[in-house]
Amino acid sequence: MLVGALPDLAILTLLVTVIGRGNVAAVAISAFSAFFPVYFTIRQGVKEIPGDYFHVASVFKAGRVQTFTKMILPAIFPNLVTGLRLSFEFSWNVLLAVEVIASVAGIGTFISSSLGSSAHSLTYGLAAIMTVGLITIAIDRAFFERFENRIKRWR
Amino acid sequence: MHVELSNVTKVYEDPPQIVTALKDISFHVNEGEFLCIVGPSGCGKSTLLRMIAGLDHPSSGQIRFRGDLLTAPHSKISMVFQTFALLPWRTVIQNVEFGLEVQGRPKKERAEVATELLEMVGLKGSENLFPKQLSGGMKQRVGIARALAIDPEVILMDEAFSAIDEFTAESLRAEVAEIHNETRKTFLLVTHNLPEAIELADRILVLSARPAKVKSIVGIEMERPRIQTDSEFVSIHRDIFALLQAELENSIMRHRLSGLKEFKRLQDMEDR
Repeated sequence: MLVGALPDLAILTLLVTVIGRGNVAAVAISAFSAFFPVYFTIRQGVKEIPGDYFHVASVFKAGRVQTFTKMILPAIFPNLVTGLRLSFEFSWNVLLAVEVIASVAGIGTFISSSLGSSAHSLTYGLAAIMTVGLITIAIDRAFFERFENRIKRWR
Repeated sequence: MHVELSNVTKVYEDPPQIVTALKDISFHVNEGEFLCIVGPSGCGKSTLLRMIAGLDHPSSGQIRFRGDLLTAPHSKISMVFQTFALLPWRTVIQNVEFGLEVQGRPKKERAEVATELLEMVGLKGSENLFPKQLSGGMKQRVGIARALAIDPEVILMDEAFSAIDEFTAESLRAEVAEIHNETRKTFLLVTHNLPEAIELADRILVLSARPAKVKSIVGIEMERPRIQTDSEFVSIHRDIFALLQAELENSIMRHRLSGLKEFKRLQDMEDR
């Protein structure tokens, strides 16, 4: 619980000091920030599985593996999708910030450096921000919306 | 004897308190019999059924099926749930196929069995609907078809008609009676609805208030279909109702003595 409550962006600076600058740090921190939304939504999902579903699995003699694949996994699938969606958006933002802190060349660094200088490069900066936004929407549409529409059929 | 319970006792331990829910329950169910279990609410009827299903274990005593000791769910004992417990992400036919799928039966066989059973419970044409699209009565029909799909010898029904509106429940009971008559499988129904028990049962097991003991076993020899307004029905109802009422008064007296708070706590423990 505590780890999830800590301010992720503030931890970034700390992690950069520990891991050092560079790509590894950027990826590690981004992955770290992606973990918690998924973890908490899945945990919530498992808690919310009605007890009778487990009884159904037992009465029909599903073993551990089958209980997991045929009951728990489909039951928490909506939570998994929500968690991944949150994680995706969050870690994407974190990645941009981390690039700056960890001095890695990338779109985050590009935005921050262009916004810092002349009026001309402000256009580049805004264009980059727009690009990031469009990519986010595209991935959201391509993956998460499709899953969510599937879930809506039965939920 | 198809299912036999001998001296089954269930004790809940919630330190420092130890509560006896069921005490020395002994009875048997014959093959092809329809046995209904009635008793005051909170007396442990459902716990009894769950133990036969292998979902819970007696603290002492034995449960035997065809003479063999039951310690885990058995592939020939199936169950219908009060909450229906359909898996919402599965379509109607996929829900019915669940047990066979777990057993690893081929797809074609599963579909054949499920289609036939869905037709039997009047859900032909609804195979590809999801549970959320069904009414309560339809959901329980799926629940019954799912229970039958594994070709069980014993079907346990835990308050199977309680969450359905009375009109629908009435026709569903008639169908269950017919299924019992046709298949001659052994049925065990736990209910708090006495007319329902009289309508369906070959014998009614009356449990006493907590700690539940077998208070009486009443054979119902009335011809079927049984009409609630028949004088015979009314007199059977009166007799068993008197037994239950005596129990209720007993338990109220006891709970007055030990305090209502305690009673509530015991109920909560069983609900868990």
